[in-house]
Amino acid sequence: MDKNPFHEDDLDIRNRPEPCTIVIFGATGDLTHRKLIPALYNLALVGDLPAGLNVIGFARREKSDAIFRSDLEDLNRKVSRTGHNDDLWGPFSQSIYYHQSEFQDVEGYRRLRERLEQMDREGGSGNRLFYLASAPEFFDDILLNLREAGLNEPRENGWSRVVVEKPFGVDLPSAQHLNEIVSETFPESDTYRIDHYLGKETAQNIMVLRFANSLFEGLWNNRNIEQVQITCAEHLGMEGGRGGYYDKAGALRDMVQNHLLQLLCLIAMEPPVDLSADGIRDEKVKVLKSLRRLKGAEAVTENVIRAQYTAGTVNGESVVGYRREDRVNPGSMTESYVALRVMIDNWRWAGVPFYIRMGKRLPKKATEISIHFKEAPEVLFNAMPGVDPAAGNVLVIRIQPNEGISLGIRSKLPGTSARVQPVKMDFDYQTSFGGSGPEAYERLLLDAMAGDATLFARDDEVENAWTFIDDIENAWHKSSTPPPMAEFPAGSWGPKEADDLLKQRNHNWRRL
Amino acid sequence: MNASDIDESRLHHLGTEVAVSEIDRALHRFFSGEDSPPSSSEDSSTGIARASLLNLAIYTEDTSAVDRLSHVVEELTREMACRAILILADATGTPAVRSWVQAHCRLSDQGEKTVCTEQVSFLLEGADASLVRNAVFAHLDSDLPLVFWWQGELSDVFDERLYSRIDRLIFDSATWAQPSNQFLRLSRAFEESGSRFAIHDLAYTRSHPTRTAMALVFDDPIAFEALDQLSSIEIVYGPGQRLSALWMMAWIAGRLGARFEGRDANEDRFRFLWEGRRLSLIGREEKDEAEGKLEAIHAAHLDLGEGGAVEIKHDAECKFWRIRWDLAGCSEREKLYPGLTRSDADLAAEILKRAGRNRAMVEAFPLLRELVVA
Repeated sequence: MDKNPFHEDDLDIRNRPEPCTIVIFGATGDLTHRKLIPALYNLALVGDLPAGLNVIGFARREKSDAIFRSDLEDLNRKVSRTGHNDDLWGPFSQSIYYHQSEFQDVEGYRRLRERLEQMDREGGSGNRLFYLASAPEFFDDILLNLREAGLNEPRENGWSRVVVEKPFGVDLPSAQHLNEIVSETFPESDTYRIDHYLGKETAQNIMVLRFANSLFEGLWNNRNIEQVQITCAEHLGMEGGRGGYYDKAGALRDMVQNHLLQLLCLIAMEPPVDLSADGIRDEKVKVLKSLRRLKGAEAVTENVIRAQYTAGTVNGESVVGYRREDRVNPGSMTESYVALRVMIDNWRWAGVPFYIRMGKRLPKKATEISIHFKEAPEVLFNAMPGVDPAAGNVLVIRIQPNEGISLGIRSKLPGTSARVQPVKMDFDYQTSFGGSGPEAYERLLLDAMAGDATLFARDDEVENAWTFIDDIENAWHKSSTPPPMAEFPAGSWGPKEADDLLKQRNHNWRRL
Repeated sequence: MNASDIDESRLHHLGTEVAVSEIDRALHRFFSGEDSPPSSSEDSSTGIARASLLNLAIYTEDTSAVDRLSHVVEELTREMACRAILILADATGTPAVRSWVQAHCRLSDQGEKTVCTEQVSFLLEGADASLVRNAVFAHLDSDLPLVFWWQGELSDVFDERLYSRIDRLIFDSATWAQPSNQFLRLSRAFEESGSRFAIHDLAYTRSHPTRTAMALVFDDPIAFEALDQLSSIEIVYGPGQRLSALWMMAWIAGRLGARFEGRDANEDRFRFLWEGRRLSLIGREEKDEAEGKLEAIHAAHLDLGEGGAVEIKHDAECKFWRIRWDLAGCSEREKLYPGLTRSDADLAAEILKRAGRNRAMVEAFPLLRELVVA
């Protein structure tokens, strides 16, 4: 027999995760403790982890296996979404090990190789998944040393893969450089660039909504859609020392280049030829290539608004302005808010503006996509006094929180008059399906173990996204006449200039 | 039993009694705000959302099961938004049809709104006990699939005009006095309908954790190498759960492509031929250590000959399955697999969530019938 006969393929249509050893670089960091290990623990809890899975934490600090496990256990108790079970943690943690080494020390990687080979001799699978969860400045060293130690080469009948955490570069040249280093070490088919937004249930459901229902696809074009809005609102500011990182990145690089452009691609892409990873990614790349580039300060000023929050009130609490946040430069020119009008120059979307807005210290936390259909002709019911032509005709996809979909339509008010009102039909994931789905990292880790790259970004996706973003960043930071930085009070829905951006075309931001 | 034998006090579990002709109106009032749902939950929040993914009909000829089944519906609707139709049939007594409506409500995690799904219940008495089809088909939520959960033995009510219209049939062969006759009846219905409906035996579903554990056992590379040395598997099951063990055997043999050779006299030892080798699948009943706390299948012991041995065992205390590999050439290892003992409602919810055609069970079905009569 060439494969395990006891797996019931009809029970689950996703690819099956294979036994492997996961090596996490940056094992003492927050991501490992708060996301990766709790995700693996929760997968173990529901029985989704393959037998023969081992985890090796690779980091600089001196630590024993026992202390590493104990540190992980302490945090898992606090952050695991399903709580902590001692009975499970015992055997689960026995497959976690610690490997101390500097990222730049090739000897540490050679010792890692010996350790992995020893584990293989004791029944390990030979499959290896290298997870780059360290600070991005170490990615080069890690990849080069993996190659130097021969760890990038798959063993006979096994595989060797790499998962790269965001940020994948800070601009196009740095992304190209990183892609080059990665591609010299691992083939593209074994490279998994994480965008955890794609692991969210509702993001995955966008394609199902579009391509499993004939209802919407016929309307999904510039003949029927007036505009699309993608909003990512956060009420948090720079708590927990985030200001240091954020002030270097900004809203555009931190969220738009990756997560929000990915959502835009899922909304705008053509039907893929199949559901393979490359089938889907080919279509996403076509969208990115069709984005109208904003070359020069003038084009950026016309289509992009950057802003910072000033002191204000969020959730009833007074908060300081962006420039007075911890670890933020008092003279900072980094945007905490960005709003864009993006045009996609292809047959399907020509003339339809895609508005994207992302901001910190907005009134609430919400990520949503709204598809605004064209208004019905202003005759018959729509010609009646009191009918708001902008109301209704909206399809909303809620990414977080309260994942779901709602459809706004116009309906007659009961009674003898012919008054028309917008009503909302709501589908809420939790209401209909009950319980909660897996956390994004759980899904993505399983996919990486299964060799399914559908929910990961490909090299050309990343580079095309940076190409679009770099035009804006260059206008902001390299132009002699940079577009201005707007302001808005914390706790409000962004600057007036962002409202004006939509008013130019008689549009308004949807009220969340 | 005649009509007077039904304990009226138990019927209050079914909600508000309404005339059959008033059912639709009463349901509508729940969600139109005119009437607060007579809810099984104590929560009294306003702002009700109605949700439904399917129609679930539960049929029983045991009217004393009313409490239990009401509880089952309440549990199920927590996991699965549906219109539930509960039918209690009692062929004795004066012909009569009585009906009740109620809603099962819950709060979302954010506590923002109450979600309700509705239950319609019928008591069909005397000659009217045959009106099952009328009760079900007149009260379906349109366009949604119909899942029919048959409680107990398949009776004459289970006829072509009923099963040809359902999408999914759930039953529990562990409750059947003569499984071979019942499986024959089911098999005929399945063939006559052109295999149109999917079948789900709870006795099979109860073996799911053990089947998953079996798959995990051979994910281990060394165990997989030793698979061709597999000579016997002993399946230990709880009282009354022999059908789950037989399903497990039929499934194992089916997955391996093993041919059934016969059963040893006076023993639950079934002999198979697999790729020219002998394979024994053995069933052994053992008492539950604590009533109601163990899975249907307690353990499976795999003999891999010179390759070693593997044990799969349910640990009732920590609610996990323990898989222990004791394989030649490497040290003993253990892995835990989740194993919360589940109620029938949990099993049904699992079936409904997974959906699909249940191909693995259908493939094992012919062999199961051979084992049952052997």
